[in-house]
Amino acid sequence: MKLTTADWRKLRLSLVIFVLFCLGGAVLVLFSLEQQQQARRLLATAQAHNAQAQAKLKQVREEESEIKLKAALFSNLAARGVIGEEQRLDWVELLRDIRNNRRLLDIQYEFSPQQPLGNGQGPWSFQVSSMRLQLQLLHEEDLLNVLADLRNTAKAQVLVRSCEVSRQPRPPGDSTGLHANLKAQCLLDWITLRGPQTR
Amino acid sequence: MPQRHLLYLSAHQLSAHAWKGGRLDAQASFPHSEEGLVAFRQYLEKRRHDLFYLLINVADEGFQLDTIPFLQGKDREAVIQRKLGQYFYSTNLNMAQRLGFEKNRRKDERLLLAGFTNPAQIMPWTALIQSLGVPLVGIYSLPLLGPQLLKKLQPGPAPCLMLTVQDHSLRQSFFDKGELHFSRLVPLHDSSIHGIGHAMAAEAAKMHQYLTSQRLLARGQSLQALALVHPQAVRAVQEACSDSPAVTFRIVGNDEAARLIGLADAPEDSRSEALFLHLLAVQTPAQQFAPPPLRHDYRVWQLKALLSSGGLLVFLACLLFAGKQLYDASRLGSERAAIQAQADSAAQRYAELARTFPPMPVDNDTLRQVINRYQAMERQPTTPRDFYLLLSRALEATPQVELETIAWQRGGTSAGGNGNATAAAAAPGEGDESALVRGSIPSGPQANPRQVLAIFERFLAALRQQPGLQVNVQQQPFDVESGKSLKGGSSSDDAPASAEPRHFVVQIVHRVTP
Repeated sequence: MKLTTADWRKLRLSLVIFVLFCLGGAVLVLFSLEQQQQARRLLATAQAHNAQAQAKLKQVREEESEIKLKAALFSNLAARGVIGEEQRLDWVELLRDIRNNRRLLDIQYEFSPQQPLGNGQGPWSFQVSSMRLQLQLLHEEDLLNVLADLRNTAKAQVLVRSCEVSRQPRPPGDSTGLHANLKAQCLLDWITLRGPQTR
Repeated sequence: MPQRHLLYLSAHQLSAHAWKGGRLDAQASFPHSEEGLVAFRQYLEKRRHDLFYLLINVADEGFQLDTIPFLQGKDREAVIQRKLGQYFYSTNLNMAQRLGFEKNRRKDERLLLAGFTNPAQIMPWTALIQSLGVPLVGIYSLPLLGPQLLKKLQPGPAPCLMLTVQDHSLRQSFFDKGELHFSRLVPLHDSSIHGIGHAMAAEAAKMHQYLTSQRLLARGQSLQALALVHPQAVRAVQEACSDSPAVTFRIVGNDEAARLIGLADAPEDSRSEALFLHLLAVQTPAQQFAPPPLRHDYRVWQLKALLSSGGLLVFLACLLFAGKQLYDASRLGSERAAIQAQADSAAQRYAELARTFPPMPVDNDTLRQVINRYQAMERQPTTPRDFYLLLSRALEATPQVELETIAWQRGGTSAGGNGNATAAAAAPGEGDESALVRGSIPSGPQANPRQVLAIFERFLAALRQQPGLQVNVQQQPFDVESGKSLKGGSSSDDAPASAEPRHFVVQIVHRVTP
């Protein structure tokens, strides 16, 4: 069958209808495919959220007592003043009080500038201030008492990095016994925890 | 779906009928005249987009039974066209109907060839249809619809002559084994019931003689004549058509025939055009008489329908596919909602558990991280107290030893090693503590080096007995090692050692068991 120009004119409307139907069908198919892909994406996201929530719940159940202990320890540190900015004035007063209470012959100290401890990333980071401490001691127990006082009462976590104790020669002609028998040179780290609101 | 129209062309006129829902609706009649053609043109112009079927019932129609060799495709078509050209050379309104194959070895194909031998009677009408571009489905012959009517009436396997009345004519169609072999149309001069009855009886007897002479019937073989008339005419026709040894009659009311073929409205008189028109509408034969040019507009109409229905089909398929996809998306959405509900429930339970914890300015992960770090620092030696304790226990065993310096440090020390394997083994790790201890052993007036070394060895042994302590001697009170120089004299060999205290240096590492 050979189609003439008149035949094509007759077929024009049907061709348009055919094309419109095909286009409409294609739009429907593309729309539905997009909807399905979006549904799959949302499902995958929901599955990930669910897995995360379930894992978090499982972990918190398993570590409930541990978290409570840690929370209590955190509160204790906060109450001691370990958390927050350094209280160097309090530290100086504490050293003075210790010297007076322990009746130390001499005490010399020097704090270095504060530095981050470790890589210091994240909103919460430990900060350290090193202190060089020199003591004139009658007995080595004085040193241990000073260190214990610092660890127990300082508004920081105090860690002794090094400590050298050496015997001092007795001065000639001294018979009072109030001279320093020992000399101690220690290096201490005063560690505090700094949070985001303290920056 | 377009309106279908059935055109019936007889020797006297052309009548038009609309067919819809099993009912025939007579629309107009057009006589064989110029006025008739003009009226028909006007009729067609109002129905250019409808479908038309043309049923012809004229006397100038020829039938030929013939056989051709077993062929297929273009070869068969060429042979059939040659046969049609031989039998119906004056017309292009012809066709061939397959009747089956001979049961011989060659399996020749049996054909019924038919053609309208006076096309001038038909062409004015078809030319008008073609000129107006009206879709003509095909041209059909009334006797060729006879086998379908006969099949419904079930006359039996014997040769049968069907007698039907049309407008002023009597159609006689001969069937053998349900196949049309011959048909002719005779004028009906008396259209009364008695006239129809007598004409049927006379024409059936003549037809029997003709068929016998043409050897279409065996000599002495009886012929069953099946006559279709109005129900009220059945008795009168039966009286006129008495059975004979040659012909036996069966008179059937055309209302029963209408019921059998599914025509809703039975004919109002004995004429049977309506029956054939209905059969044409519901069982349109595959073969027809119109040449391709006459059906060109019908082909275009088919193409239009194909495009429209094809487009609709594509759209419906897409709709179905999209529906499936959307259903899947909906199902996935429901699944997502269920999973989201689980996640929300878990988050809620987590929040309930978290509410039981003391209020913290940090979240649990940060809390865990911070406190773990704090505890790790606390696990290290924080003061030299424990180390002093261990050292003092060793000193209790050797009170002669006097310490001068204790250089303690958290972790390891790089001091002093003599670079040997012992030093490497004593290398401290993280969490350990170490100290470089300097001391002396006083030498009394009666002491000799062996005694001083014995005291030093007891001191070392006491140190090594303490749990976790590793001791590395860096300086002996007396250097008696082979690798070092040793000084002495005869005056001093047997004399007591010098009164000066003997100094030593040891490095002590305390391994802290985690």
